Amino acid sequence: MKKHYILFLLAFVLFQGCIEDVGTVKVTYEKATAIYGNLEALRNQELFSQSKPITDAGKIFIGEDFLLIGEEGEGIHVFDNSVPENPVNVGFINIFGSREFYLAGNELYAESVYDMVKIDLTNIREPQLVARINNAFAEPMENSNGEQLIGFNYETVSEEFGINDSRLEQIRQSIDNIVYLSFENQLIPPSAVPTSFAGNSNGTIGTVNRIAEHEGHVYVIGKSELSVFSSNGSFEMISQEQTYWGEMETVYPLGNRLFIGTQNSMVVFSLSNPAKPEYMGNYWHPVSCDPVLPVNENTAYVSLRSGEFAACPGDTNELLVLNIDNSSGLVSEIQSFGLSSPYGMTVKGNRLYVGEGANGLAIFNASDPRNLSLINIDRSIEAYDIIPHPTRSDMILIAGPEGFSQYEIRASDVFSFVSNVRF
Amino acid sequence: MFDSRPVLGKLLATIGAFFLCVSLTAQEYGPRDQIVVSYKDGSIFKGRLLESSSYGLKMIISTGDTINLNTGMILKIFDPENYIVTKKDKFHYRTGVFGYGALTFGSNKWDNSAQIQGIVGYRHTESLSLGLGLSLEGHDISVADNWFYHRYISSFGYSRYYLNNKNWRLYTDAKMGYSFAIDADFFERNTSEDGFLFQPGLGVHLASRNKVKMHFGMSYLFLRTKGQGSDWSGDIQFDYRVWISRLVFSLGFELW
Repeated sequence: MKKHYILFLLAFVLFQGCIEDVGTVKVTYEKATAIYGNLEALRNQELFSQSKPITDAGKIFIGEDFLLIGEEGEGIHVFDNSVPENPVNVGFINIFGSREFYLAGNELYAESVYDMVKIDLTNIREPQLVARINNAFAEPMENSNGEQLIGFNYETVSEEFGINDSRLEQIRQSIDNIVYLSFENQLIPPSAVPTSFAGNSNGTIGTVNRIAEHEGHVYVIGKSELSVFSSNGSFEMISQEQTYWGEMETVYPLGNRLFIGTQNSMVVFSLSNPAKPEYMGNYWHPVSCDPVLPVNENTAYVSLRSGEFAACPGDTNELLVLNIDNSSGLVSEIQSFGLSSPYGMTVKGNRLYVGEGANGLAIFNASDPRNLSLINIDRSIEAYDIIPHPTRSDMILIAGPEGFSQYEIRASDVFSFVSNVRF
Repeated sequence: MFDSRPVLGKLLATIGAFFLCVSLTAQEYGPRDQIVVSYKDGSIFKGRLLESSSYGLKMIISTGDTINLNTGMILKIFDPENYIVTKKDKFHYRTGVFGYGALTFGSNKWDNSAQIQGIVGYRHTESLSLGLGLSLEGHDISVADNWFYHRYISSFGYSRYYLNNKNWRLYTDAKMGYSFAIDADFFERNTSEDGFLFQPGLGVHLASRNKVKMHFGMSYLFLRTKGQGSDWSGDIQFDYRVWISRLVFSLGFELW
């Protein structure tokens, strides 16, 4: 009799392995299709061309009387901003594939898919290519026709399958296919902030940059590689090092330190030898997107954001004030503030401004940079990022869902709208 | 504001189906002068009682023979109208109300399920029992290697039909009702919707010497549901309509 029960149980277990749920699933996903082309022709395209409308804005740089507004994957729009009430689009710098750039003095540094370029912007209406370092970030990938992979087309696709259809797994693999992953991992990834400031001509640096220049060196961060270029004299790559503190997102040099925000930590490097940043310490935090704003070598602000972007997973939305111990390299938390969706930030005078996206603009009293207090969240202004005007102390500049806006600062932290470049 | 009318409607329909089944079923009762005697040596005597004294019982068994049973050897005397005596003094109830609780665990090729079930019912005939039940249940659903978790409170009508009257009574049973989704999964990665529940099965009901009886069973669970979710990266969105199909094993106890 016992044998019968054992056989019965065995049949039960075996039969379980044959059963599957029954049903259908509608799958909606972003389909990535590789684009191949002639890389040399793209490298040799005309540098400066006529102005054109902004369709997909990225980085913004504020000059004394000009604006540079990045066009994702194509180049940079040049605006004459000598009259802030009426910025005029005067031309377009063609930098194929570029999303990140930084301006130091008159020198523009930008990534261009596999390459790094340096452009002289002494005359913003006649930019000159100074140098291009071919294949700085990766060797071009080629198809069987000898064409180079130059990017991906993305389209939203909805398809219906049986719940157990093996093609479901293929979709997952097609999104994460080897070519796509390899391309994305080796090159400079897009920013997790829709539009943000690279910096201004007064030396203020944006907090969500992947490229930054400091004392003759340009620092560029990929997902996990830190590249250092010389910016004085000949423009060339000095080093490219793998890092191990999580997926890198932002870089900010200050004094003798290089601050890097990764998805799960803030890392501090010593720039005693600026050509070879040396790890000092780091602060682990929950997985999120984290712009870093150091205010001095001992104090840094980190905003942690999770939410609507797949690139920013988790459920943390807060502003941290961190202490950096210069002797030990230990980084510790001094203060934290719960926020709704903190993006980029800046310090102007004794105020810290934190863009909260659709949730407004948070204003902190930073008279004591290590003891912040929240003054107000202005919900009338939607801000992804914020930066002071380089020359006018009464103006603040905001990048948001409505484009680039200029505001005058009135008494008691009240802003008065001046102009907007809509994109 | 929550509208309770659809929920109440489904509950009332379940209760109505139960009482309809009860009213349509014929009733059976055993002869009133019959007894069943279990003996210490394991014998069981069924027949009509003729005489009883402090020394023992005198009864006529089905062969027509008259037998005398010694009081010292008698374990228990049962009324056959209410009990099915199987081995020594082990028995099953033949009539009356019952309460039943069970834990079930099951899976299919990829997914797992668990249920905690409670049923209150009525032994309508010797073979047929009917009842109403509630269960708290959790099921995971795999979509392209992404697991989505669904939890429900289900209300259902219950029927059980016994196939024999042995010590281990074999039966078939079925639950049919409606499952109410109670929340999204722990990580809030997916939504969950209410749906129809049907769970036919087979089981064994073990006789015992007391009120508590153990059950083992297996059943096939069908639960209709819908959900929406995304993969961990958020890049792929899934909108699925599924019959949750699981083979489940149950361990239960009838409490009276």
